[in-house]
Amino acid sequence: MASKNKHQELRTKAAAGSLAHEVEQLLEKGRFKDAVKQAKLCVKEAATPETHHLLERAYLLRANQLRQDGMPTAALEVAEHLCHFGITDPALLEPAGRLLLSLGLIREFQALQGLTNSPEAREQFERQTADLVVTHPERATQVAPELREAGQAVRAAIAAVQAGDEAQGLALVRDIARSSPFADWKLFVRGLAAHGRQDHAEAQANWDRLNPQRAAAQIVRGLHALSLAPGPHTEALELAVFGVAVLHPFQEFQALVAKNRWPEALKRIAPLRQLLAKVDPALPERLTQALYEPLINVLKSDEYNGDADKLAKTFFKVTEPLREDPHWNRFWALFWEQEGCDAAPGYWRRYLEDLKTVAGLKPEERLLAQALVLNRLGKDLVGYLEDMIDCPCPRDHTREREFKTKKASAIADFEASLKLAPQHLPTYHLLMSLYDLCHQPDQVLAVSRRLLEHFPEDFEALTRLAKHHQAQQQGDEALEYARRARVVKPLDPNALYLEWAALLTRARNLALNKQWDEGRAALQEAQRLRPETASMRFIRATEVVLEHKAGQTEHAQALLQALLTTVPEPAPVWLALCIEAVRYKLPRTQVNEFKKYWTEELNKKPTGETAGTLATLIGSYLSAGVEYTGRAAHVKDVMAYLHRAENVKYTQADLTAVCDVLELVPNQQRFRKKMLERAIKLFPKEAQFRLYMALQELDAKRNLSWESKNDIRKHLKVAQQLVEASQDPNKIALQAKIREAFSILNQRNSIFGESFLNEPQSGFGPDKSDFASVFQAMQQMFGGFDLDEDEDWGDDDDDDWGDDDDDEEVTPLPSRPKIGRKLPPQRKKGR
Amino acid sequence: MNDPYEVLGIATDADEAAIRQRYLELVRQFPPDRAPERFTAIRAAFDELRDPARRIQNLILRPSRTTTLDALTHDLHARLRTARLPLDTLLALADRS
Repeated sequence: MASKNKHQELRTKAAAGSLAHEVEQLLEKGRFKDAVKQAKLCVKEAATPETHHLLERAYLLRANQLRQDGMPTAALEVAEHLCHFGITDPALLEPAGRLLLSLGLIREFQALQGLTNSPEAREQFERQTADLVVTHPERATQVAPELREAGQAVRAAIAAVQAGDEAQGLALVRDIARSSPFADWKLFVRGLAAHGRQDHAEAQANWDRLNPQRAAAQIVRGLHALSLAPGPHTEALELAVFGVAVLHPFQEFQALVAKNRWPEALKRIAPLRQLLAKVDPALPERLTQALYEPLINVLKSDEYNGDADKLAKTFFKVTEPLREDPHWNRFWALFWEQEGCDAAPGYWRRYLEDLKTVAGLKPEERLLAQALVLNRLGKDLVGYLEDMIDCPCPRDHTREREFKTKKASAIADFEASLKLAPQHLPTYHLLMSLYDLCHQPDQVLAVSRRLLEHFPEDFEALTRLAKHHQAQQQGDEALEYARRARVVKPLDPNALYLEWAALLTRARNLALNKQWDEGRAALQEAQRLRPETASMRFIRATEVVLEHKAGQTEHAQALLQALLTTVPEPAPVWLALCIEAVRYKLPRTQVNEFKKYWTEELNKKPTGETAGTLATLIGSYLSAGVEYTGRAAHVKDVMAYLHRAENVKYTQADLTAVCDVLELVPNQQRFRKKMLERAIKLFPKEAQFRLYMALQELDAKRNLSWESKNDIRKHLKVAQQLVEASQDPNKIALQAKIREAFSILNQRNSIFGESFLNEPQSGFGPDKSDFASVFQAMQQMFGGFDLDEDEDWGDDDDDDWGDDDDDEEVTPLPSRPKIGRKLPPQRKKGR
Repeated sequence: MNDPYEVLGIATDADEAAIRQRYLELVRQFPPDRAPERFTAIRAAFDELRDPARRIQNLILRPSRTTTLDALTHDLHARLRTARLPLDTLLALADRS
């Protein structure tokens, strides 16, 4: 019998073991309800501590599941079953305590507390109680009074921080000890205060120290969730914060706009405006502002062609005009402007009238706003004028008249703009560009002077005026502007050169007025200031000429002898003396004497060094546009010398000087090409010669053959590789010019209707459609000096030096910068 | 909130010195490494106020620069994120996990 009972007991244990395994599997799968049922059977089969623990765990997990699924009553029922059944598993004490508190089962929670003697578990319970008295004081009536008081203090601290009284809030939690169960709440309050003042780093630093299992950390997680997409929780918060739920309808509206479903979107604007107004009365206006451009873009698209007016009118009905555009005139001006329609200026002029009365502008802002609109109108007209200039069609009387009318209108707009806002610098620049476009240099200078009255430190205006006076040989005036420019940019080499050149002009003018000492002083100052690029022997030669002029022949001779002993080749000195003697108006006999020596030196065997020095000297007069009697003869002499020096040994600097001067002299392109080929051969690692060659080819031929383009591209690519491999800042500076040259090449390709070449993709080159940068690049690289090609300087035709290559006209090349607004093709208002 | 006066918390008739002083105060309070979002807004507002021509140019000629729908959405989220929630609403977040 005993054996039979023992056998049955073993069978029961085996069945219970199998059931327990089944319960574990159900728990793993999250099927807690079934797990509870099976665990009950398990206990019924064999009431062991293990099966008891299993059922406790199943109850706990099921209750938590129900609570999280939003079924608190059912959760409460299961939790009561758990309490009634008894909690014996020490591992479940903490989570069970949290569950009981969250369900408001305070008595049961306190009973649970009494079950344990473990200090860790007691601490856990204390923390849970602390969380309860803070989050739900109404449920904590049976908690010890001192704990409730501490909880109230934390609540008061949070309320104070949320009310903006950070100091009070922090003071209320300052005395909470680190060991206190409320220590987490102290960190929370500190983080909340930082969060309120948007110091997210400090907030995070405090909140990162929170116990992730506790209520404070859960609140922080909830706050972080607010920055995510709107959901049911955010809607509740929106209601709490804004009083309305606006995010979801706003995002739906935004999606409709993004999909260009405007008729549906417009229907939602009115209710959306109401919601936004409840959040902030300024938001409906911002909504209109935000829709301004998308609406204009969609109206001009083909999708709404024909319905554009209707769509716009519906928009005007459901929204209010902006304060700054009360009659929608700016809206239509921007719209028609994008359409390239001639109605745009009319709307802009109506908008000008609106601006006189629109609200929300200070008096000076109103003037500036009007000035900006006038500026825009002028800029548009300049765009039309540029298009007219670029147009290959013949300029008949009608077009000429139209040009004059538009020019007058643009000038009137700019002048009116300047009258309203004389401190608006861009308008001066636009007006100067317009006069420049119309070849009115005097007006450009007049505007520069007006600009300087308001912007006395405008470097561009100062250097422009300095150059102008220098070209007029007005040394004092040039010096004044150059000195002011140097004050603005003391390290700028152009300003330094301008001041130096002005001092030389001043010295000459003083000498011509027989003010010898003042002239000498100016020369000495020029000597002190001498830029690196200027030759010392040139200043010494000028001193010689000045002393001759002053009648100090012996001193002049002594200076000359001293000078000649310092130079290896005297030819450049004689040339400088010849030039300056003419400019200082020395007697003819003296001029002829210098000329005699110069001619003698010219006939000597040429050297690369002399060729380079002569090229630099004559190049400085040519590039500065200095005119004097006999200049053409001197240029011819130097050219002849350079041709004779074609095959002599050159240093890189001398060869560079030769190539530079040949660029300035008309009809020397074939010879320059030869010299560049030689330079590339002699100095294959020098990127600049490759660049020069590419630019020369680009400039020489209007209609580039496929082979020429390939050659140019090859030169530019090699130049780029050399520059990229170099550490020399002068070479690195070529990089921008190489990119610009690529851009010019692409421009030429696009002009002739061919695809772009495969240039390196730098992303820094000028806009391919922008002629301005292309022109500027060419201007910078080729100089841009007006040389008189009729002057007889000895061109390639003489002495069989060759002629320029074919340069048949095909298409106008980029010739000058675009200053007006880029305008779409103009058309009449037709929609 | 993109009115520069509102962002800097100054009166609309504040002069250049006052604007600059307030800007420096706010930058000390919200340095870019600690409060990058707020700093960006402060910087943009300051840039706009110290260059009135740019502000008027944006207002009058470049309406798209003043605001966009994305900026509005961002603004609403920011208002919600930085709002000072009522005590009960804030503490109720503890029951949501």
